[in-house]
Amino acid sequence: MHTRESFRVAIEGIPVPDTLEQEIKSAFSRHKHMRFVWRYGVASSAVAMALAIVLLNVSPTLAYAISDVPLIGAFVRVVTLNRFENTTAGTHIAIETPVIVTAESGEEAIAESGTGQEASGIIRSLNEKYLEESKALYASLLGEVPEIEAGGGHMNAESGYIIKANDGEILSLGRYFVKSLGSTEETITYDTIDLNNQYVLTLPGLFSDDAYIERISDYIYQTMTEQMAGDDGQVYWLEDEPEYKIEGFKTIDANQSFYINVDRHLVICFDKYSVAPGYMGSPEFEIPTEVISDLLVGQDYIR
Amino acid sequence: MKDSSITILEKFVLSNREALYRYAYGYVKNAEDASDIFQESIEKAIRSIKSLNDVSNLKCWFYRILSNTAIDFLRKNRRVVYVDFLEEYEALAEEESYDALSLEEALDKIPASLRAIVTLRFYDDMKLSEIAEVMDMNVNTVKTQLYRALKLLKMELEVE
Repeated sequence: MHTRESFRVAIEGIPVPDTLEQEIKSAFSRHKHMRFVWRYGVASSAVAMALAIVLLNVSPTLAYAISDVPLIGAFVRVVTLNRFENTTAGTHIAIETPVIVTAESGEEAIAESGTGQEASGIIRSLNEKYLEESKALYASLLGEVPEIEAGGGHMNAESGYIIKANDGEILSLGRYFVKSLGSTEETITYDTIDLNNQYVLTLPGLFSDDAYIERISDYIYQTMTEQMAGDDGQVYWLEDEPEYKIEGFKTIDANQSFYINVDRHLVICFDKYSVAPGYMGSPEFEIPTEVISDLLVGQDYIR
Repeated sequence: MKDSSITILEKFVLSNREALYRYAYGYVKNAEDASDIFQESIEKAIRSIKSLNDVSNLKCWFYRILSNTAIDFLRKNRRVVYVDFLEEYEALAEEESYDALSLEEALDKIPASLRAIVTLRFYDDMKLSEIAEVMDMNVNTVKTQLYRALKLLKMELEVE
């Protein structure tokens, strides 16, 4: 006959992973981080046109590379000018900042200043916003380093950009942030820019009225359902779980994250963990244009 | 206010992490899935704690999330076939081979729900009423299941 003590010994024989504490802390800090980004986003748009820029790092080879290929018309190029990097025994931070270079902004001047301030209008605002946000992110990550080092943990944080379309009419630029601390968090923030009219597109601005919200939501809901039925590994949170006060996916936000891809199709994006478990990453849904064509304001952007 | 309830949750999870992890492990019996279930339960808990008014039953609430997440996982991975309690009992009654097993082996063999109940009672020191809350059963059912589990595991203990 076994005793209570032998039962305890049997359960305690289950090995607990060394990384468990760090994983838990990471899950909670991810939550805090999301709140920080949101607040910062609001503040940064309010002060978008401000501020002296401190240049931290310019690659000397870049000036040469830029002037190699001249830009004409509304075409732009996106380059990396400011790289914030820090490495300790257990941590690595690498933040790359995109700078949008236009024909008009004078490529050599940009290479020299390293800021993209020479561009005008919306491009200049975006360049400034990107640099400000990179600096804030870098400062926030550096602040976490001492505690992680003290606890013997490991962190790898990287930020950079990805271009989804750049055809002389629109530029779709996403800035990603990936942080591994136990588990991995990731966020991608997209800007889709009308280069001729110097305008950052908004989701409501593409449509004549609010009907797009329901139309797109229905399409995504259906796509999620089909994907789940077709493949055991695909999981989206579609059903309410009243017990945990979790609502399943019902509708996109009026200002849901999106970009326009090279085919000029609309792509709707969700943050990691917002509609699916973490292993599903940051889900994206390309919306066939026929699903929304009667609701679009025009055929300028989405075709 | 929201921050304070999240901080309480974080402290609870951190200080009970080994017991919580082992509880999740009991359902899936491998480290990778146990970690996933634990992580997903934390996500669910963070997302919903803002609406949890009574923080005093945090322990039961979190174990319940863990149990349901684990059961969902097993169901999605088709490692569990649902049978009602009676069928489960009859199936167990036929198992005479438990005699030869060590406690660890027997624990791996009994149904996940029995293992969960016996763990909550004798490892996490929960009261029967708390276990009833976690498992969404009435207290009498918990008691019968506990007796059943103890018999299968060859443990001689008072249930209450």
